[in-house]
Amino acid sequence: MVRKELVAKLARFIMGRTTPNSHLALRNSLFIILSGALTLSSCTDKISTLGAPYYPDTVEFRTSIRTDTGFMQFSSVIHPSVPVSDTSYNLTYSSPLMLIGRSTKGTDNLESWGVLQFPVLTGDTLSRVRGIRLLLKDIPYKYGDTTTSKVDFRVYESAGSGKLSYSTTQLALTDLSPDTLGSFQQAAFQDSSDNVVAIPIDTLKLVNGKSDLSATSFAFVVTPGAGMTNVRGFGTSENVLADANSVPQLEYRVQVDTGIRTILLSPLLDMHIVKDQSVTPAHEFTLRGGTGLREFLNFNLSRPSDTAQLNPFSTINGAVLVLQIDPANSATSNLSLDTVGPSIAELTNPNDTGSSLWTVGYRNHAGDLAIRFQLQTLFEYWLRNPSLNLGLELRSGFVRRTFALSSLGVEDNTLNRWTFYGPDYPDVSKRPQLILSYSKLP
Amino acid sequence: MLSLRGNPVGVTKQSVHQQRIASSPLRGFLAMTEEGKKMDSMRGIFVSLVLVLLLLTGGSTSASAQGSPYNLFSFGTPVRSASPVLEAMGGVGAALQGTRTISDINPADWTWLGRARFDIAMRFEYMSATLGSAQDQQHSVHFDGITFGAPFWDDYKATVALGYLPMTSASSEIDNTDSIGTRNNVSTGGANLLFIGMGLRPTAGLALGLRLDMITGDIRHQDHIAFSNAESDSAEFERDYLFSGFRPTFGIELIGDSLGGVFDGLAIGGSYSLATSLSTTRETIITPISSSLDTTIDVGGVGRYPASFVLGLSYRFSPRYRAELDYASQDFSTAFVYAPTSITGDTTLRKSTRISFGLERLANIAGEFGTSFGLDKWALRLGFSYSQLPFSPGLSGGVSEFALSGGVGIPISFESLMNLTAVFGQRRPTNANAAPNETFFRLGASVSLSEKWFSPTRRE
Repeated sequence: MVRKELVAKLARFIMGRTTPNSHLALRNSLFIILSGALTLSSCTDKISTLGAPYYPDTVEFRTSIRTDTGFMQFSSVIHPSVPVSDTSYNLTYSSPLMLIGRSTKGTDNLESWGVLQFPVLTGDTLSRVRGIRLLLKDIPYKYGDTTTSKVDFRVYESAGSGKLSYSTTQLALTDLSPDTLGSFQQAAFQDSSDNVVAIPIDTLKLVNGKSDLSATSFAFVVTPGAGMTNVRGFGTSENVLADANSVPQLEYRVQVDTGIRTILLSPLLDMHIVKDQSVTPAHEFTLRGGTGLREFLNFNLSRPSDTAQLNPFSTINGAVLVLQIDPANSATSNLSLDTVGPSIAELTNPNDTGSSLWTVGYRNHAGDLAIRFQLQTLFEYWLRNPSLNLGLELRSGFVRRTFALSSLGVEDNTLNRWTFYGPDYPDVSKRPQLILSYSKLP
Repeated sequence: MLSLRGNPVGVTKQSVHQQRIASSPLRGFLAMTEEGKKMDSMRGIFVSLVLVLLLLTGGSTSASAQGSPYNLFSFGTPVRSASPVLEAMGGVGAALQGTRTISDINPADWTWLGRARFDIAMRFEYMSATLGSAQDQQHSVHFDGITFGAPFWDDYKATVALGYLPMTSASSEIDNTDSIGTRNNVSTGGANLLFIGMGLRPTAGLALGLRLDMITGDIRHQDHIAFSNAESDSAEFERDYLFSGFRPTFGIELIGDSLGGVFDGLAIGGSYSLATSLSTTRETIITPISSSLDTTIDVGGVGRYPASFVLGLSYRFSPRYRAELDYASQDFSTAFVYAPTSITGDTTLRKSTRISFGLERLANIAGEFGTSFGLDKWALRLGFSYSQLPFSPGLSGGVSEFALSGGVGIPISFESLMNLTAVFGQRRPTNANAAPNETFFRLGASVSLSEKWFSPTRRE
């Protein structure tokens, strides 16, 4: 009986006999249809590849490891200068960090000299000078033997008129005065901000040659002494906004009447010149900060004969460049940032005057000797804009500096040495690889 | 307190109903006044319909768009009739003599419509397919069209009709996982028919129909790629085939009642739709991880939808019972969705034919067949069909389909019906294991509205 009543109720509900108005019956019917549809739409499914042979727009997707030189080419380049218009600048010209010292640790053979040029005093004032000190302010940085805090510096004057300028990238001892103007040794010079290296300048030697200097400028070159086994960092005038106290100074003690007054002058030019005599083993390549030693990479993404057959509408799902470090020929400073990895810059100008940082290398885990660079979206961009594929540069670092109002990327605040196994290295497993994942519609 | 078994003392059915309306969210629309009962009833139905339409169309897009692997061929699997009424009878309809059905097969049959009528339909489909070790079980819910027909000149039984119906279903899904990653392909859409036309009887024994069809559609293929390599990002691709074209459809029906005697109750009907040249745009949408590199590429081209022909013979062997046999043919070997320039056809397609047979006990809504109650008022329908499907993949030798169907038409008010249909069928390739074997089950539902306010305009 109960069942019969339920059936009867359902029938009345469907057919709208509970009321004299048809719209309720219609609404009930529509409600039943809709409820049934929603219930049935929640059925469990099993989806397989069964229809795949009949699907006309199957996306091809693939991952391949590319090591072939037809697809990617490597070549070492060195750009110690930055060209702006018709002028070249040493790439450390705008660096806020002046690196001075020497590293002979392991296979390293590097020296970095500080170069400072100060305004010339008038002849009358110069004649009253009773003492000069070159003041350098420490910025925490050690490269080379980072266990010692010993410093040993020699100060020379640049010999010859106009020998030293912002475009100077090379200096030899023969370019400097025969004798040192001053020196500074300290067994434990703390590597803390604004700790001052005060190097007394021999005024007699200076005075002896002052006719020459006064005609040009006071230009000093600070070199590492024999006891220096690492490179230390000092502020430059470009660091004034970050730390005004870190700017180097030339301190004059001037006779005024019966008293002595101190005059402090900031430099007109302060930079460092890096001399790297380290040897890169055969079939390897090196990136060195401060020298502009880089590796140029060219990718032929859409070669007609290439196996990937990438086209302007291919999707690059992953493009990881993997470089294996030669640890015996690599070194970084004690700054944690410097240990991360080198940088990769996208060239935006054919003659290397324009670049932008694309990415910084990363490791999958601490101590991993494989440095990886994700180039995915850059490759996609290049596929769609092939004329903009001007290549990449692997650099020891990348930071934007202003050179004569032009903003350019350089690696001026690092001496890091990154040596990688090259594409023709005998051990194939150590060669550079590009793990390329892509997908495309037919 | 309301009681379903009876009304409390002093409470009439009408007052119970009014109380219900007063507590309904639709009370603003449904509130009754003596003068506005009719209008409010209309509003209520329209509100319900709009709500259901929105939900159905929303539901059909949000429900998983799945279906037969054969839906992936060209335009997809043809929908022989979008009407659950016709589908319940195996898909017959060329000589339907349908007084309460707007036939999407033969426009000449519209001349049988006694009142203005408005149909809306949807379907649920479940399929299970196997090929070797691969097995698919997919389902889909689709909006199945909306049609309107209205007689306007009684002397000639002239009737106008218009509607929007699915012609093919291209919904299916593929999942493919291997060592490289996972690829998910989803196909949706299909061809649709937007039509307007007219049927009339210049003489009592002859009905003619003409329908202008706009074939339009978007077959959408969406691919999602996910690599197993953690350093690789996913990607999405989409390819749409947007097409449109026009064709005429001609219908004819010879009505034996006009001759009397042995021809009484007999009808022969047929319709012919011309082949349609389509203007097709192939749109490719590439969505990489960097949205700034999203790319859309439109390429113009052409397509072709084939001509179709249907012939039917029906016989009403008692006032309430009738049967019909139909034969349909459509040569898909000349069809293609897209090509840059015209081609002879899609090599995976072939000529499709269909034989269907249906039986119907007509609904006794208005007591036109005598007094009846309950289930006796319902329409009952049975059908069978055998088809050679247009698909001929690889070495399959072609794919055939047979289906059994049944359905009911439930009177729900003055002249309105709710039609429910169930179809069970199988698809088999001629050469077993050369293409999927498929079993499918389909449920269809429609509401055919013809209320008091659908009063025909008569010309004397």
